[in-house]
Amino acid sequence: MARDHNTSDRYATTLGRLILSALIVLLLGLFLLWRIDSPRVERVRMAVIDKVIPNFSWATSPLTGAMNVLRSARSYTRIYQQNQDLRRELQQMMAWKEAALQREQENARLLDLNNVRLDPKFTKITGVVLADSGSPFRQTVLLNVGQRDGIIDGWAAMDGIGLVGRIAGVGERTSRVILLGDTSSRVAVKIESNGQTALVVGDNTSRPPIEFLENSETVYPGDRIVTSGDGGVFPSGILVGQVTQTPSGRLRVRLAADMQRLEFLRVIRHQPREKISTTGGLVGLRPIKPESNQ
Amino acid sequence: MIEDPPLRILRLRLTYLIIIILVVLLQTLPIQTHPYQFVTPNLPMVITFVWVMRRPNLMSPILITIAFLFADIILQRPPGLWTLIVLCASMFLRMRALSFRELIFLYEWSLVAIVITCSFIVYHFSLMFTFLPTHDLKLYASQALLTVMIYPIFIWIFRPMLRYALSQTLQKQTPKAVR
Repeated sequence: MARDHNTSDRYATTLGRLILSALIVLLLGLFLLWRIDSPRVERVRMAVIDKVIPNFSWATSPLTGAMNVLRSARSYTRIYQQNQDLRRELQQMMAWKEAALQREQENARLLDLNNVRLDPKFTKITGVVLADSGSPFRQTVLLNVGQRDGIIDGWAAMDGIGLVGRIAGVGERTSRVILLGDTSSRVAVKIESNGQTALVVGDNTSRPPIEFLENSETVYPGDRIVTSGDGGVFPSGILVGQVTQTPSGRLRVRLAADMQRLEFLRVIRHQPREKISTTGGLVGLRPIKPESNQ
Repeated sequence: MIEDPPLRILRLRLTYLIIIILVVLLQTLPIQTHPYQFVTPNLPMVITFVWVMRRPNLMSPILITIAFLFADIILQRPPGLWTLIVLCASMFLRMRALSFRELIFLYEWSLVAIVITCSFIVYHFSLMFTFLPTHDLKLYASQALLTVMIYPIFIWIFRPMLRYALSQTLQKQTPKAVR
């Protein structure tokens, strides 16, 4: 009996060792496969997330709701001061509104003069933020719109005001947005005041630095930064934020979007421009009409 | 040595899986979309180590692999790497869990602390060697420190659950033990 027990125990340990080594090889293989052929494994990951996260939303929505209530409740404690602030802000807003109305009229007049037609492709899809990356090392959020809604990889996502990030990974019902602060995020931007192009490179902080500026002396804190549209990934002219300067002299972006509270994001439906592949024919040479061939 | 009835083992394993999945999914709640000002401890890891040290017979490698592969996939980590590290670490701890049962808690804690620190170092350097973007060691160091600090708390939290299971099996086993 004792020997029997012993042998079965030995079998168990041998089997355990076998399973353990198989698992180790499997995991190592998975990691290497991901390293070599990342898009395919990422597609599998997106499919899993697509299955899991929307089904979990019944549990998350009351929790996030409660958190928001708590946050609003905290602001009640200093309601008087807030009221004063709001009143002051409202006065400023009235001035701004007047300016905006004038600008609008002026703009309408100028557009009329130019006969400009706005790009009809600039429509947007609004999605609700389902989940964030859940780790201090990544800056991503998950939206509840996906392939079903026509989302395509690479589209820009913004909140009401400014750019938030871009779509990277689309599932059937969900899609992932890499925020501007993520370490793998690079966005081509333009300084609006002098038209210099640069890159906003995410480094896991709330104010990503501006890199590859040609002449940083002519850029001042407060300058507006918009996307340049270089590379054809983003439409140009989406507001990113304003330039700020750190005490060490480094230029960073203060993002226009409210990254503290991302609830609804707009995904901008943007088709890249059609490529012009032919060099134009000679001037004056008429193309052969199909009728003449028949 | 007391052996649990298979149903209880299954139930405790399921409990473990559900706890890990809940912790991972709660981490992804969109409450904090701002970059973190401070790092958070790695809860799935510390829960696993507590369970390994207290109930080494429950924690099969397959169970740990399933739980952490799920976490890897949801939390956007390189799939497999962190799972591999935690699996090796917990198997290392499991081999020593029974011998640490009789010693005072400080020894156990320091062993776990060393293992946690080593895991983070290995993770950092394997990311570096595969040319993946990694973060500064300071962030990992503070996360490792927090994870170590939180270990006794989780020992305390899970003590009733794990001990209750043991005492109940004892009562169930006594009539059979006469045989």
